[in-house]
Amino acid sequence: MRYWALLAILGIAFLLQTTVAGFLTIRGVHPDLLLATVVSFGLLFGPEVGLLGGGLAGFLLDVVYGRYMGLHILILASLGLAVGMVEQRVFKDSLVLPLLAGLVTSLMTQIATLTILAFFGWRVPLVTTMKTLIFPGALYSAMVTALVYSQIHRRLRYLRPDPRGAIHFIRRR
Amino acid sequence: MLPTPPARSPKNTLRWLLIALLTLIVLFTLMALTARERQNTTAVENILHTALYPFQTAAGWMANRMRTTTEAVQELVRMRAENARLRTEVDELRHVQTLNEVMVLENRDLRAELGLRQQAGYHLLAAEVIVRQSSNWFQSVVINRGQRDGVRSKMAVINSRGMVGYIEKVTYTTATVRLLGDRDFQVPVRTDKSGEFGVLKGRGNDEDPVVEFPYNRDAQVEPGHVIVTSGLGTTIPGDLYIGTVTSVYMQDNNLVRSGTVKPGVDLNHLSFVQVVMTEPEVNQGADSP
Repeated sequence: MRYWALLAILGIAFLLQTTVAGFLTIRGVHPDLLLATVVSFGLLFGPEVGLLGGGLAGFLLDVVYGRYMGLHILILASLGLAVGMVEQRVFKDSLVLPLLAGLVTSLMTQIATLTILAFFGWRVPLVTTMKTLIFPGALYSAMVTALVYSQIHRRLRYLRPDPRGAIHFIRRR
Repeated sequence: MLPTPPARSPKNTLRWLLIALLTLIVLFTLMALTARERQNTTAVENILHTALYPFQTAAGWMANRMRTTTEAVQELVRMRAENARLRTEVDELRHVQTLNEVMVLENRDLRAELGLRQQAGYHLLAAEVIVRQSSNWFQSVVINRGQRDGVRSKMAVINSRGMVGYIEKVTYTTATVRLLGDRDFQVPVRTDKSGEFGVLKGRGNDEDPVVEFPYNRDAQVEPGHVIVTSGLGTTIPGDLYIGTVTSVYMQDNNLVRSGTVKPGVDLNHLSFVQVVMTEPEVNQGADSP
């Protein structure tokens, strides 16, 4: 596994997310490049890479926002781990996979974010937020995930020349 | 086919569960500690922001140039018709400017006669937006000015179309601006016509902010009224243009009159902003803007 290349992909996704993504807003909904990258990492490289990639992406986002630090680490690391769990049970060549994964994970992460923020006193109109933010955001994420996934999938042989070369510290025993 | 991982022992599973639980506790504690506004940033944040600064500046520069080029082409098409209209406007404005100059002199003399202090002018610091909000929940941008330029938390940030937000946190090289559409944004305001005092609150999700008038249930506010900062109890000076009231309503409790405000600035397209460099002594002790 070429971990430096995975780190570079994550770094580029982070820079694009914090610079260009603001220009790609559709009706107030932002594309989530980091979610797409973490989902792709999980689906293509398994739970360990998903967990670590998600944790790192979340850490970078938390540092940039500086509020509710730990929120993005928790959400993205859990997401990477959960998606990575199904890595060996899915057909990776299908484009339906990232579309579906992007849709479902975006819905889940946004609802989880809202639930956690509700612990800290956030009160949002649920129906309106679902209609204007969560559902459109999930559709947008599905498309972005498909795009990111296909780009990483095309370079799979380069990124993972040895299919056994995963991080095995979690499965050591 | 990858080998199936060996089954975990109950002891091992328990260990991982404990690690997961501990991680959750640590993360939730961290969230609780950083949920409120902070005056100072941690060393980790400072180091990371400084390390990311060159990359973000370069990426932000490229994004800005791409956007500027696209907009320049679009603008060119509109430019000819607008040019003729602007010439007429310039003539009108010259006339207004002359009138204003006379009024400023008159105002200065009258204030001197009444013994009033001149309204403090403030220095503006130009800044470039290097990081944009990238979340559907928080609305903030990062600018390329920080402690080294004299920027401090709670300073107002504006552009030519009005107030953009205020400084949320500052590192040595950068500052994070909480935009007025953010759900945690609050600033004391007043209406310019009726002089009603209220609080402007962001609503997030690209929705226009609301202004609430908790001090006067029968506040004289109507659609079309202009909302400006009140300058009360904050480092944010008064009379900064925010936007126009588009609708007025009573809140569900029938106690607080509220209105929706259309901001003057387009929060999704910010490239350059200006920090209002107010003096520290302007702060009157309030703990939030």
